[in-house]
Amino acid sequence: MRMESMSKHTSQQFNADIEKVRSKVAEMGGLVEKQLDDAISALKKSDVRLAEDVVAKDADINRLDVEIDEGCTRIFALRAPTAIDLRLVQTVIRTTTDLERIGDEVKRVAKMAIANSKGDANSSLYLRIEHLGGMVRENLHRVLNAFARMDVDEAIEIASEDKRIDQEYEAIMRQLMTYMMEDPRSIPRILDIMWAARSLERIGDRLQNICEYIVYFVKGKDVRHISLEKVKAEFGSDN
Amino acid sequence: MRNWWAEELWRLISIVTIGWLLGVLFGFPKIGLWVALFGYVAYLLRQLVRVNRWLENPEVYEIPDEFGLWGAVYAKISRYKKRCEKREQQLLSSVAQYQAPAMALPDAAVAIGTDGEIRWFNQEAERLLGLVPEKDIGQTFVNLFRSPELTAYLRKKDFSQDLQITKPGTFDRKLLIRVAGYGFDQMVLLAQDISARIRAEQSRRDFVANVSHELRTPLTVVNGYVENLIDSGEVPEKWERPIQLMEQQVLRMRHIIEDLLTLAKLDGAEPEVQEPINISGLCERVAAEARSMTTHHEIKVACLTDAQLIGDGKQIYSALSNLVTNAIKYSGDDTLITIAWQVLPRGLSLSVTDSGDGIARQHLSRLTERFYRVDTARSREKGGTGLGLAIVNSIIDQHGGKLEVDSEVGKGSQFSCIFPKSLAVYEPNLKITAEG
Repeated sequence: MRMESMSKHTSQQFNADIEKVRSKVAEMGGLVEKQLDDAISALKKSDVRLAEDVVAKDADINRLDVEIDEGCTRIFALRAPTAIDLRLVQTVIRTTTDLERIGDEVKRVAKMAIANSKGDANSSLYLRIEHLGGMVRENLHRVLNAFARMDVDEAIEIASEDKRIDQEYEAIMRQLMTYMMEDPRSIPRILDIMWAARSLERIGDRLQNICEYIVYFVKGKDVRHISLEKVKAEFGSDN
Repeated sequence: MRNWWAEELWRLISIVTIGWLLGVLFGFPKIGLWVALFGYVAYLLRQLVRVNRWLENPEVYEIPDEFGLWGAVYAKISRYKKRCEKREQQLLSSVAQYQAPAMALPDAAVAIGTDGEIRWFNQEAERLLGLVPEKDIGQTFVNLFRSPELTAYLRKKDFSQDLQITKPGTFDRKLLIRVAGYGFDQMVLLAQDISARIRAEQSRRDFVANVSHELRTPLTVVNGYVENLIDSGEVPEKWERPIQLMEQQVLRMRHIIEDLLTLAKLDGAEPEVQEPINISGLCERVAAEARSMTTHHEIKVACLTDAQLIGDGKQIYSALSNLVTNAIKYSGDDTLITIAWQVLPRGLSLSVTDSGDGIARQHLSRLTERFYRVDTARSREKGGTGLGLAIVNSIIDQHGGKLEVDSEVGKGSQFSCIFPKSLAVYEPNLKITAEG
């Protein structure tokens, strides 16, 4: 991707600017990935210190968000990008916004880990949350790889994986409801867990958004609010 | 060398002559002359077209086979081409020769260019770092391998120390990253999976700690009964000595276990406390305690700097007191022991010097090994556990320093703890007076 889109520019500085912004997004993605890993670890081991660390480090993600935004504004103002460059800058801006929100959701999971570290852990519930977390983590990793490679096929495939996350989320919700009915005293704690599950599920949705931006960047067509099957039929590699 | 001028000139002249003669024969000598000349020019053009065609598509057209000057030109071009092809083959094979071993390296290797782009990587890098062959060449490395620590490390461009990271996307896979720069701002990155090694180390450490801990309880019971026996005063005379020996040995075992536990705790951990330590005060305290232990040695303290050391005061105290106790144990009566604290060019030095018997050279490098003894019988008699110097070494290691031993048989030994200068702080008011 890099070579095709870059070689045309006469200005070396333009290349450098765009590449820098892209690298920053990857850096931010790496940070979000690490945060999610740490948050899930903290939940698993009831490690309050690690969870507090995650909450504190969210500021780093926000700082990168601002930096990338500034970089993009500069490119808009100084270079007036067109065609593929314009799409890249737009993709970067949208992706960053979603990554920042994912960071916030991760922070919420970490806060839940702090709140629940004192209570008696219901191990089967935690196991399910962990499983959901694992799925989300895997998808985040793949989305960021697809973003770096601007790989449309991979992006479409990940987007369709989101269904599995949604199913797992629904299963957890049903389980939580039974627990609440069995023992109303556990409701406050279960609500916390529900928020964590909800956060993880939201992360899955945001990852799907990023996949759509990748398709937009490479194919030049906005595929938001279009069903996955249609997108697949039009842009999948088997077509 | 053939004379091409003459040869070609003869050919031209003979063609023109034949044309002219034919013209004369038919009664149009001028036309015959022109036809011959045109024919010759057409022949030349044809050769040019053929050679051009062949050079453009050497696979499709064969080398034109021609006599005379043109034939010689073709032969030379063809020879030159063959030579180029051969050289290209040689270059390719020598490149392959260099790449094949790098490809088979057991560590993941990635060559990274000036802009952080991937230039080349080997098979292990595909497996360990998740890079895709061909496709990922030219991609920015840190975009694909997103470890915040590694990104920061590469940005700093200080590769003097190796980096240990958790592999992104995993909880427990540890990678050891080494980077070497080459050429202009290019580098090669080596990554190695060290999870297994770390686990093995951890289980070894755990084993020592667990065994020591498990042994402590039974030993406490034995110790209790032995003490009871002695205190009871009912021990028959012939058993008095054996029971005393039992008590001594139990005590020794307890010391060994305590020391092993201390070592296990120190191993690989960071200092628990990081605060400025007043070293001169600490030296005085150790010296005072040492003086109360012995009346046969003179103990001097020489603090030549007001630098304070950042670290864990308790640990440094126990290291120093270990060294001083050793010095007392292993040097004869009426000798001098000096504790010195000073700034040396190679770092901050906290040293203990004695004028005792000294240690033979062959022992020096092994002194800090666990249970290593220069003279087993004598060490036991003095009540050593064989772990003292190992503990000192671990403490200093923990603080990023190293233990240096200098000794000469018959003259004495010097044990110096050398700490990096970055660990020094100076009392602010002292500093101001020094500057003013």
